[in-house]
Amino acid sequence: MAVTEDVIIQAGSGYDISCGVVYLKVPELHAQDVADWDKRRAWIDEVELRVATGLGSQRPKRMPSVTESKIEEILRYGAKAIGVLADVCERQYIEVDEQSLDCERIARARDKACPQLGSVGGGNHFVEMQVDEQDGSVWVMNHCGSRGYGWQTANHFFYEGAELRGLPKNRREESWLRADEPLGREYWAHHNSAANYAVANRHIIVSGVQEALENVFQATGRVFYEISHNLVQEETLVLPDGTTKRGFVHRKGATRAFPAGHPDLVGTQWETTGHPCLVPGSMRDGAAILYPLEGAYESGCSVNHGSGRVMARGKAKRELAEKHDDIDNEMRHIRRNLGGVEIEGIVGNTKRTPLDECGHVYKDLDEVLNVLETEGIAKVAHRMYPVANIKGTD
Amino acid sequence: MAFLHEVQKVSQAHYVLPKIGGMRTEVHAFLSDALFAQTDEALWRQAAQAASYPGMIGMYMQPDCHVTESRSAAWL
Repeated sequence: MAVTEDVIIQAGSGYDISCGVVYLKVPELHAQDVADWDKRRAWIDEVELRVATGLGSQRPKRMPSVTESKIEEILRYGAKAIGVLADVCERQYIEVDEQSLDCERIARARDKACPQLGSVGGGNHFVEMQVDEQDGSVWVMNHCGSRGYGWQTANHFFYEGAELRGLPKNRREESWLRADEPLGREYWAHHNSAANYAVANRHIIVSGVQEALENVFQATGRVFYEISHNLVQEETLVLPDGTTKRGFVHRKGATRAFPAGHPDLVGTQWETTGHPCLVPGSMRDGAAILYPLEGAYESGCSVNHGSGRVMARGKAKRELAEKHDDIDNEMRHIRRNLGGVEIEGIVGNTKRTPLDECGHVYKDLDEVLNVLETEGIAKVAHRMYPVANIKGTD
Repeated sequence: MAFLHEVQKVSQAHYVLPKIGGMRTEVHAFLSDALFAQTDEALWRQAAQAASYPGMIGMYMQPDCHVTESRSAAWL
């Protein structure tokens, strides 16, 4: 995570601009309601009827269609364009400078916006049902980003930024832009439109998840919070002497963590508590909700965005191949006591556990979270474990 | 220039790479001893490179940090 003045570093947001997570809480459900394997399987099937888990070009039959004019509104107003309230969003939307936004100039990005809206994508993206180990409450987490719109946008400006800075193409990811130069203003507008798209994408997926919950469990999911972890944001910086100034905060693989009293939380629901930080771990070991503490100022008002990878994808597929049966069995038969209820197995939507995403390729989430508590940066409020996982596939 | 051996432990789970070479700011890293032991020169070199960008005034690594698979290794 990096903080700059007057400069925007594109790698600080990367290709999947505003990748992030959203949590639904399902107050009517308890661990015992989701213990049954077949019910969790049925829920996965219902979600996949409504949420694209691939490229999005094959839209599931019950996925709502989106008009081009709605896309234009979403690119400018994010979650607000689809009626989501600001209090459940890190940023309901980020303002886009109309003078600098020209979607038609990056046709490859614009062409993907409509077909892929409401899709999870691949890699480590997912929809996951989880249970709180303490009280057995049921939650659903969605992890995804700006899809092809964001990727193509980022790629376009890496090339243009490299040309401006005199960098060779194979070093284009090192480019950077001054906020006040024309290309910088253009990138900022497009970057923010991608961020708006990602936020709306997560909330549209949520609506499909909510329908599936109602169909299978006759329960209503409520959005708890949504947050990005691949984003450059212009924020108020609180300096060690207590004064403030504005700067660009680049959280590439980091999550914003404003504690209680942060100037940018004034007037929001989170003013006196700090906002929640949503941290996914792995498909085996679950996730957590944290609340920032005063020590967050020492870490640039940021926490981690996950567990952190210990094994690259290619290496995982090679080296774990001979253990694939064991890994599948582990996911099928792992037993956990969650809220006093023993739940066996984690139901998945793929025939076999994706080796490059299994629990063995990530650091221990609790070890990572313990660092934050040790330094007074954040406290763990909820520790969740997965019971059903829908992996995005491309 | 090597970076790993320049890293200093400042508290139980807080390490700092001081500003050296072309770095414009020091790098703060929040790591347990065990997580720090898993870091390597490549990670700290990548951090130092990132800390050298124009306009940089603060750099913080979280406990889930790892060297990216990006070809240019421009960022963490």
